Amino acid sequence: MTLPVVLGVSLAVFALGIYGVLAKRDILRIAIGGTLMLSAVTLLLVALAQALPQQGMATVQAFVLVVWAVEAVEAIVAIALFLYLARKGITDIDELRELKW
Amino acid sequence: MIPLPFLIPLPFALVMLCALVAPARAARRLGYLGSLAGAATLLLVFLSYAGGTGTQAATWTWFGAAGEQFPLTITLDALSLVLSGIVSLIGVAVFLYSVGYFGDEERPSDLSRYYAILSLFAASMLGVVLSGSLLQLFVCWELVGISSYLLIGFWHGKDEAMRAARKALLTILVGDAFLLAGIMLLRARYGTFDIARVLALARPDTLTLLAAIGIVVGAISKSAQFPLHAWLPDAMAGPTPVSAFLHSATMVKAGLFLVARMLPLLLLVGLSPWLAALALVTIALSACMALVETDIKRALAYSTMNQLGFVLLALSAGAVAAGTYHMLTHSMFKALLFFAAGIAIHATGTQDMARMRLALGANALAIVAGIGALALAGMVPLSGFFSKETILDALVRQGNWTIVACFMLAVLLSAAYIARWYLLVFARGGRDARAPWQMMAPAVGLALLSLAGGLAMGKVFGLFGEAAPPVLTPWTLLSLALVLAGFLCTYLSCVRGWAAWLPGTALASAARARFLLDDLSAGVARAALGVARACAWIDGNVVDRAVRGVAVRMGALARGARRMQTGRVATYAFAIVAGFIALVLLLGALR
Repeated sequence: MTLPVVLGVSLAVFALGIYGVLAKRDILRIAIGGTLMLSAVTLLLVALAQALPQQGMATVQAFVLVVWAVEAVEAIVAIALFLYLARKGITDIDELRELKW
Repeated sequence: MIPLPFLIPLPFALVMLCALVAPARAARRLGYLGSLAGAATLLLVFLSYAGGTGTQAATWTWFGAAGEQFPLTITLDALSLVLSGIVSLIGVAVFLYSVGYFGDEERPSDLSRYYAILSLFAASMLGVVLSGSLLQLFVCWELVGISSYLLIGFWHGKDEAMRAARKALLTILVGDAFLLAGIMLLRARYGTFDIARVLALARPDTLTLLAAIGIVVGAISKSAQFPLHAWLPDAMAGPTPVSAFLHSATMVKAGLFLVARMLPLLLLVGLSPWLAALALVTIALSACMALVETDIKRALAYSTMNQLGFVLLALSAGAVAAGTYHMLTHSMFKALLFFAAGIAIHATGTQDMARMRLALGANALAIVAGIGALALAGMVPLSGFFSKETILDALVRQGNWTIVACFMLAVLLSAAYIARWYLLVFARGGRDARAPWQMMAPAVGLALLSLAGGLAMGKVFGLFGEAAPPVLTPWTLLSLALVLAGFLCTYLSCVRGWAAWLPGTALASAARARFLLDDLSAGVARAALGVARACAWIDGNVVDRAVRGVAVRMGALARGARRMQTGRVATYAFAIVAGFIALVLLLGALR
């Protein structure tokens, strides 16, 4: 697989994630959008490491591991929040706007 | 080891502390403690004076700032010695008198407050007269002023007392502002606050003249001389011991003390004729007002102004010894007269002399008041006679015959007004006045001192290193004749009813109207108030409004700006993405 293809896939997944975050009102979909963006970044990093080996594989691996850890934590918090809100019957993000000023 | 002179204000300061912490049941007896403190102070004054030879100064480092040392300096020369003697001696009498003066109707907390402030006053007054530096003098000077304010307003429930206290404070503060300006000018010109050095360095130039004027204005406001005198008669709204202590015997002497202390400088810049003019105007106005006043204490207040005018006149002629001696005798007989007035007010329940009608004859009050009145009039052989003759002698030697003639007239007038005072208060077959011993004893003591005050003349002049003037001269006899003439005038007009047209004259009604000077100073105060109101208006409607306007605009802006915060997550996410894209584009454009 060549680098441009992987980059194109990564960009497409990232754009999909942004679309999910910006356009969707369902909290779970937004969370999925965020996860998609992170995955796109991970993919990008790995592909670049493959293509440009002089940058050092270890750095990239460290980055990717950290992103996974963040993703896991984010998923835990997001799903806990989602379940809490779902029990109260709230699934629309636009209903949560009390904390503005 | 602290030098002994620094301990002089200490006894009264200790009494103040005692008064502040005293339990309620001891409040009435604080007066005895104050008397003891006065006696201790007197002892300390003489011990420290005997410790040195003649003029002595003691120095103690106060604080250093900007690479300069500001020492506490105590000067104990003849002038300070006599004045601190006056403060402690009258202090003994006044504290004792206060015990009898305040009856059971005063609350103990009020009495503690009274004794605390009175001791504060005594200590700071000692500070004024002992100060060797102008800075230190000014600090004590302000303490004296504020304790005067607090004591005049002792009965703070009485509107009249509060009004008088405010008037006194404001009038004195006008003078204080001038005094401070004068002190700062001297400091700028000669680079020191030390009085002795300033006097030694003094040169007659414009800056020194301005400083001297500031000092004189400060002095006349404190000593109730024309035109800043209107506060003194009103200050009689305070308790009588306060009137005796502050507003006749000691505090009002602070101004004259300052004039005497700075006299070489004032004479150097040629203020002597102006001092004399101020003194003569004060003497003339106050004598006329004393002749028509019906309130027993206010009449005495005018006579205080009058007698202080005599002292100022002596000082203008350069006669420090004579002026100081008159301050000494005046303190004795005027405090005595106030003591008598207090007893009379207690006995009759009125301050209106026309309604007092106290018994004349062989009763203690009539006798001690008579001694005080005769001393004030300058009757031989009482103390007032000798001190007045020394002033006369100085004026004659100065050789300005207009001033001498005016002085002679003033002698006649002062005899006339004090005789009128006495004749109004005491009448044949009137009521008998009883007073507790704490009130009578100080009066009797001061009466004895007024009787024997003439003996101190040689001693006082000796302290100044001068020979006392001869007592028996043609001038003395002339002034004695004028005193008798003054008595006669009063006798004829008050008792025999001659010259009944006199109270109807324009002069008398002008004096009753206080020569409109009270109205004048009230007018000045009102004008100042107008200026203050205008400033307040400008402050409120221009300065504050601008500040408030900025705040209101900022608020409106913020209210508009917060609409950006929708609370919708999508908005924020969009802002983040758009911001990131904009940033990337911007960086790309800059490359």
